[in-house]
Amino acid sequence: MGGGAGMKAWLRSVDNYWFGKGSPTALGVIRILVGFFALLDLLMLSVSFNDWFGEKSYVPLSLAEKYIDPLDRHFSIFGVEKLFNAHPTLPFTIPRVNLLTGITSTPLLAIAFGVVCLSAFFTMIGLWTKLSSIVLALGIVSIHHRNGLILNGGDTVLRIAVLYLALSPCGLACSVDRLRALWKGRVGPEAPQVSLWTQKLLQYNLALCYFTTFWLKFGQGSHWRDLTATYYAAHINEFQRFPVPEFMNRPPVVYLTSILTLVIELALGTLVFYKPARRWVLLGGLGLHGFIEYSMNIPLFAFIICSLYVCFYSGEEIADFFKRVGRAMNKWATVVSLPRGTRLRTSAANGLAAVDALGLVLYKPGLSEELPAQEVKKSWTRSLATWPVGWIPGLWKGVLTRSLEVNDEPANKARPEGAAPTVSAQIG
Amino acid sequence: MSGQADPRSPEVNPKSPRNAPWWVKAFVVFHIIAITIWALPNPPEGYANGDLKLGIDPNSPGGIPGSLSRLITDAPMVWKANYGRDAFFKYYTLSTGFWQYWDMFAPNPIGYDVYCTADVRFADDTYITYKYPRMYDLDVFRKYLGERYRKFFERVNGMPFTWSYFVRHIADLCEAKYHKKVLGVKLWSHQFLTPPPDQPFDVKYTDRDFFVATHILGSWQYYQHQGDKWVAVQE
Repeated sequence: MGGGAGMKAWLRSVDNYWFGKGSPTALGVIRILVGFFALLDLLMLSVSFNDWFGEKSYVPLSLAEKYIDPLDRHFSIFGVEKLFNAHPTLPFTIPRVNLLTGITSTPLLAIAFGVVCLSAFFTMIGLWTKLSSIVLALGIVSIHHRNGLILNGGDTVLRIAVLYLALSPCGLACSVDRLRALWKGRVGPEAPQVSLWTQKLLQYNLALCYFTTFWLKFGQGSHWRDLTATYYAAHINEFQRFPVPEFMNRPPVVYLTSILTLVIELALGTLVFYKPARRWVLLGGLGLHGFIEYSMNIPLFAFIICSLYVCFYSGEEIADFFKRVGRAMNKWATVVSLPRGTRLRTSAANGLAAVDALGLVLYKPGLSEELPAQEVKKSWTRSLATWPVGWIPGLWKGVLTRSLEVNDEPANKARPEGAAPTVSAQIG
Repeated sequence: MSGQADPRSPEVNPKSPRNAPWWVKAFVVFHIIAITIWALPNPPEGYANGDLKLGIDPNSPGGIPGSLSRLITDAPMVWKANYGRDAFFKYYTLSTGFWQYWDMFAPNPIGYDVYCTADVRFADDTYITYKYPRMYDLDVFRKYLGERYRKFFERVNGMPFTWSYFVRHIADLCEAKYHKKVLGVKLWSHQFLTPPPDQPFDVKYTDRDFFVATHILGSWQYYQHQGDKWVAVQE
């Protein structure tokens, strides 16, 4: 009986680890970062679009199909089939996900490419997130299957990331969708609690990446074992980016950088799950990729993979981080005076609280007849999430004006400061 | 589409007794197995050609720890090569885009530098040297945008079936730029092997012409350098 209870408890803990509920804020932050880098990656690709897509390119459809051939219909069942001398075969060929299959028209390809760019933008801001993240994932996978000859490490990580985003509830936090729901009063200010299995899978996949590359390098890499690997990597002219002093690329420093690379990759595949070591392991990863980004021309790889490090933190930890930053920036905290006789609608106040991730703005009843321009400016410049749009003339004033309602309570019974949106950091 | 999950869904319903539906859990288990198998490193080549064998070497006391450690590290790789790579999970990883085998600088960083040029002959019997984008020659901004050209040549350099496409696009680019018919393209690779760190670092590229395309009577004919001979090849 004790064994059975122990097993049940263990299964419950496994279940809670992989499928437990929590705030989706970390997924929301990852969505913003990955959406941004996906958009940047696509825009960079668009510069040489005519060289990579279409029939008058280096990779016309016929070459693309030769490079990524159809999936073999024969498969194994881990060797069990050999015991029965069987040769399992599918009755049909399973296609790869590729919405660009058969398209040879360059204008059509360009339109499809434009749609994927748009979906990356919508994913980044979190507008119609479920749909846009699915379109982005399908689009990126299709582009990668359409031309696999130009993919680099950054592309692979990006593809994996957008696939997980499409599976996740990443639109429930840090998104325009969330703001619209708050604004309309459909949801409350508290962060929703959702099963975070996609975040766990992302953690696992990232750690798997690092662990297997360590395994491959340490197990089979003669230059990694004699600690000269970074010497060879640094002397590929085609990779060179910003200058590095030559002594950095020579023994004995290469011995140190080679071993540090292995240690950091192993730690990112294992120790990163041990909470006391997590911060230092991730800082090591940031240092490793930061140096690679500075010294080597591997576009966006470091940015994308480091964006995914956020997945090792819970949504609650991310929200706490922003609160701590907000407290450290307390000298920029401000009070925004609302026009006389008005107050913020509750739902609008929740929306304003959500965009003020650092919790720097307090809205209070004022004495002026209308909303002065300096009050509008104080509001958007302190509200982190409004920076991309707050500067647009008239826009933020319009939002604030529509947030107001007549305050019909007597002045001495006006809503206490604490009850109005003190705009504490609710970035969820 | 508001981006809000259905409140009846167990994902957002705090009263739901389960963290996630059973089919999500089944999918997660399936997914973990699939991506783990795919990401396992490939075994050293010695296992394929029979030079290496898994097992304990009992012939010498010193050989036991070495062969035992190799057994532990290599057995999963050999298992993947023999059974895992072809398992039915491949349909999932390869079709959906979850295929990921991260081998950047692994097992070793590439020990050479390579770039490409092409001799282009026009119908008026003039020649130019076409410089395929080389990262080393570009400024920091342009090389960031153009890295895919390096990656592309790194790949096609080892894939003869891609060369006819490669030369045809170079011909198209040259015809568009110079407004003259292209009659022939010869591809050159320029390679420099990085010397070991204890040897003098003398940068000297080896130039090799490896593919020729000629436009004769309205169609392209291709020749590939094999040994010291040019051999006609099909597209």
